[in-house]
Amino acid sequence: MTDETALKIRLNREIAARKAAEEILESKSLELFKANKKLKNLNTSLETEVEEGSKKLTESEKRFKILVESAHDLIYIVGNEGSITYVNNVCEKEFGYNVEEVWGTHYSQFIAPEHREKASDKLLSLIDEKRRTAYTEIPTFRKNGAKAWLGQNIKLTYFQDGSFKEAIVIARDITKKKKEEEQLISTQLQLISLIENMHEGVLFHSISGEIILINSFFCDFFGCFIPVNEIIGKHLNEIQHKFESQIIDFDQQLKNIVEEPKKQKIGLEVRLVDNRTIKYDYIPIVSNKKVIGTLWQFTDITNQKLLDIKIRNSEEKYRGIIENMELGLLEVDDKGVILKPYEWFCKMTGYEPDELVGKKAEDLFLPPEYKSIVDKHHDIREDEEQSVYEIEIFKKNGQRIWVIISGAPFYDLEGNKKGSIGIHFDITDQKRLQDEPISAKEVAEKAQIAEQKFLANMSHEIRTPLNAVIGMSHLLNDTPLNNEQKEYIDMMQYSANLLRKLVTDVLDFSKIESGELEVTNAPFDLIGLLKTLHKTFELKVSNKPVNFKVSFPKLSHLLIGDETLLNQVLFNLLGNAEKFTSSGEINLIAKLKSKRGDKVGVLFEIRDTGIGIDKEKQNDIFKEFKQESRETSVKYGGTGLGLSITKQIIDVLGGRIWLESEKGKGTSFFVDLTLRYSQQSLEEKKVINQRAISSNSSVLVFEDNLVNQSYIKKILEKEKIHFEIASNGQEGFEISKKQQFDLIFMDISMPEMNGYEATIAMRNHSGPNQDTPIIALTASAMLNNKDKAFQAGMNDYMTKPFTPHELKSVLSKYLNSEATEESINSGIVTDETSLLNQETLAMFYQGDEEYAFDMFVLFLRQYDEQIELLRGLLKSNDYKGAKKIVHRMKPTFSMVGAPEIQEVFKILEDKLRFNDSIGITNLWKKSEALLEKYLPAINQEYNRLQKKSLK
Amino acid sequence: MKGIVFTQFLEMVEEKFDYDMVNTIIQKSELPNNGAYTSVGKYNISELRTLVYNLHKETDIPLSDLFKDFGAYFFTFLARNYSHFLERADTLFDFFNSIHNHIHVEVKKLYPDAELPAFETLSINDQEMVMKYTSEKKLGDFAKGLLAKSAEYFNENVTITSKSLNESGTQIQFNINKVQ
Repeated sequence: MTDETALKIRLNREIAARKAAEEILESKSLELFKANKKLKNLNTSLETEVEEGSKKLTESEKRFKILVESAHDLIYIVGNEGSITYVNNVCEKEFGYNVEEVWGTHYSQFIAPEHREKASDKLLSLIDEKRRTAYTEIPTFRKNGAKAWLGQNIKLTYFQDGSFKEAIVIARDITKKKKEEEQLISTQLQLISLIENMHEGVLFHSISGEIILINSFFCDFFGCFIPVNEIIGKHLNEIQHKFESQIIDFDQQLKNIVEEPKKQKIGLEVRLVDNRTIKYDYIPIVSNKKVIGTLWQFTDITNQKLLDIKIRNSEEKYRGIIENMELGLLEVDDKGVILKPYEWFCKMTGYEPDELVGKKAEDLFLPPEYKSIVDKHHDIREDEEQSVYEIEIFKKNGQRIWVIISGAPFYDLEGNKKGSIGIHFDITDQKRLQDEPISAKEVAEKAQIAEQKFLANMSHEIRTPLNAVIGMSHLLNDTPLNNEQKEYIDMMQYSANLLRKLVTDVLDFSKIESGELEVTNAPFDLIGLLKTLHKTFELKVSNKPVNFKVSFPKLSHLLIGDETLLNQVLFNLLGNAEKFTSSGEINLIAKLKSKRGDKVGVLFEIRDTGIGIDKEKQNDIFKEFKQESRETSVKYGGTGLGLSITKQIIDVLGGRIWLESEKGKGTSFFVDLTLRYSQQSLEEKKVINQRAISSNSSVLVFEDNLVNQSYIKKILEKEKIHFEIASNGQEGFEISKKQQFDLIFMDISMPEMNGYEATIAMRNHSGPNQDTPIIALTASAMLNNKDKAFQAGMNDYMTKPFTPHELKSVLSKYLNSEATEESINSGIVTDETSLLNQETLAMFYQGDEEYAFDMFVLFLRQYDEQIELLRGLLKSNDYKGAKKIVHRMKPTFSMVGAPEIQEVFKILEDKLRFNDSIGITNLWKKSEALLEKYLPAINQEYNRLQKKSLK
Repeated sequence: MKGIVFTQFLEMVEEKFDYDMVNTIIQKSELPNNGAYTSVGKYNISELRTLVYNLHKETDIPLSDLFKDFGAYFFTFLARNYSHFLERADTLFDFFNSIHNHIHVEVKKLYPDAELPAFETLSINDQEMVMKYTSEKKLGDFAKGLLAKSAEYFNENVTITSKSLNESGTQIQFNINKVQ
């Protein structure tokens, strides 16, 4: 191709390219133009929009401003620095601050100081959380300082970057509301506190069972320890089990209430299983005729109930006591109208209670003659004093009874007098007695006399036949008896003596009890007394392996004291020693202890090796009726009076008694007495004792009892004393007028004229016997009688029953004359060194030596054979056989002047009867010893008698 | 594709060869506008590929070299007219870094309809830079040429290696290593 063509092509191409470019350019230009135009339009419209927008804004701003300014609420804006950028004029109107002084101030300045930190913390936290709205309440104060509360609705705004822009606040004055709120809270607290502090359980729940209110008392009472505020809101059945299980009959209770749910039920009582009691109320809350809630309240009345029961019990008790005392109680009011008659009063008056209530007491009961007394006592009671008086009242049946009335006013709870209460006691019987002219004193005196009479009579009544029995048995014993009879007599004597001892004890005791015991001090021979005791007890223990020793004091004079009582004491103590000692020794020791002037202290010791007395019992041993133990009383018998009597006697004698004892070892009784020396020496007494009773004496005996008569007769006959017997006082008196007697025995109780009367008669009668000594024969030794006897004019007394010896000593006392030994030992002049009992021999043979010799022969002839037989039987333990022989041999011993052996054989016979093998062995030992002792003496006597008979 | 690419190509052909060559390839390509490209216009890329192919046919220069050279030539044009982009970068690597995030962004502002490849930096250190080329036009070689020329501009001695990341050639990884 040519350059030209090539160039042309290129050119065309270039032109085409350029044109294309131009086209593009144009189109692009157009595009641009269009775009521009659009932009311009946009701009313009934008401008208009903005302008309008601004206008609108201004308008709305204006409106808002008006709104804000005219609002009643405080509106303000807080910028992000915290200062108030805007506030409406409410600040001035309501709070007193000028707008100018608020604007620009930090918001916290208007918050009450104590709240500032809280408020700022709150604001910060709101901002942190990027919250947009909030409600707060802050305390502020008005310009005048008054506190106010603001309730604020806050709107928070943020910048685009999230930072806090400002808070727009609309605040309302809620001061009043706040106050009301506080008031409400306070009231609420008070109420809750009130309910909490009540001593009543309160539960209030809705009809659906939601617990609205409950207090701690309720919870605690039923042992539900969930805090109150946790229970409120819960359902009832969450706690129902707590009280359901504790209330007795819960279901029944509930049923009663549910039957009428709308009805209030007050004061229902129910018991719990643990015995507490509650009184509760059911109060349904009704609205629109429907129950919407229920209030339960209860009080714990457990204590009240207990108190009630106690009171009731107490009342019952006192009523019971009063009724039992048979006191009639009557309550009347002020006007005398009967309020309440008690049971016994009704009984007493014969009325039913309903017949009495409401009636006037006076009308029913009062006899008119007593009205003045009753009125007087009413007045006394008006003065609110108690009074006592006696009147008669009418029973229902018209009968009168005497009553003693004790009345007192009684009051109601306020202390006002309600009426009187009178206690009536029926004294009809007493009144009757009172009218008789016997005073209580006289009654007592009469009683005493009666008692004494009784005792005296008893004494007499018991002792007389007893005396007879004993006396007769003695006499009977002296007559010839066959063995069988002798046996019977022995038993009789034994029993009678025992009985007499018992009677004596009892009578002594009663004598002492009634203060009858009289001490008569007279010179006596202590040595002689001890000797007698020695003899007596030696015999008593002869059947036992017991030795009896007496230790005599050095005495050359008689002592002044009451011989009888001393004897009784020592006899008693020795008796006990003997009773309780089965083996060993009994010692009677009498020692002169101290001397002062003519006074001498004598110490008696009665020592035994007996069973002893328990230490614990030693204190009681002197008490009456006390024996060491029941065992003792059963085993050893006795009344238990012995030691008591002994002690009382010693007390009366002014002495002391005590004991030392060891159980199982033995006992020692000590008696300490102070006696006086007598001028008389022993020798003199002996002489007196030995003074014979003159056979020229004559005695007059006043005795109505035939038995006693013969008893005395026999003794007097034995003494060869002349006597006369009168059966009654009158008879005796007549006899006494005619003949002089040396001595008169005067029985007290006689018919026609008793002893006192007869004595008085004789003393007053100037007859031959005006001054004759009169000896009273009294069955009772009571002091009264003795006084009486002496007052009547008697000189001395003897108590029945008396032994011959007693009689003889009295005789010798009053009929003294020259002693002749012959009188005493009338009969046999025996060898004084002989062992044999001279008295017995004398008694038996009355001097008839031939008779005596015959007896001795008889005795000795039989003796060897019998004794061998006896020994054999005893060895082979044939107690029955042995007893027969002993019985046969027994009486023979006294006939040969060995009554001691007779005594032993008597006891041996008893032991054989009762198969007391140990006793038998001991006793036989003793017997053998005695036999060995006496036999030579018997033989000696035999020889002497033989010699005499051969003469 | 923007007209500027076409006009620059034809200029390169004219410069490197002569207008006859330009003519020839135009005629041979049977273009709709007969080769009357204007830089402000927009034309189909297939027309460029045809032109390049025909050039290749005429010269027997491999297509990849043709594209590479064009890339270098185009860089020079860009550097002349848009020097501020280069001035902005202190180093080659800085420059490369700015291609995607800065340069192409600015281009897009002016020519919103420009179709530009994505040029991400995968890794960069003092020694090496790894970039990823993504474009539907698959003009990896062209891109390589641009890169190489830019290194020359910055007086950096580098070796640029490319690796196809997929079969279609729409994603290519370029490793640029500084040579010491």
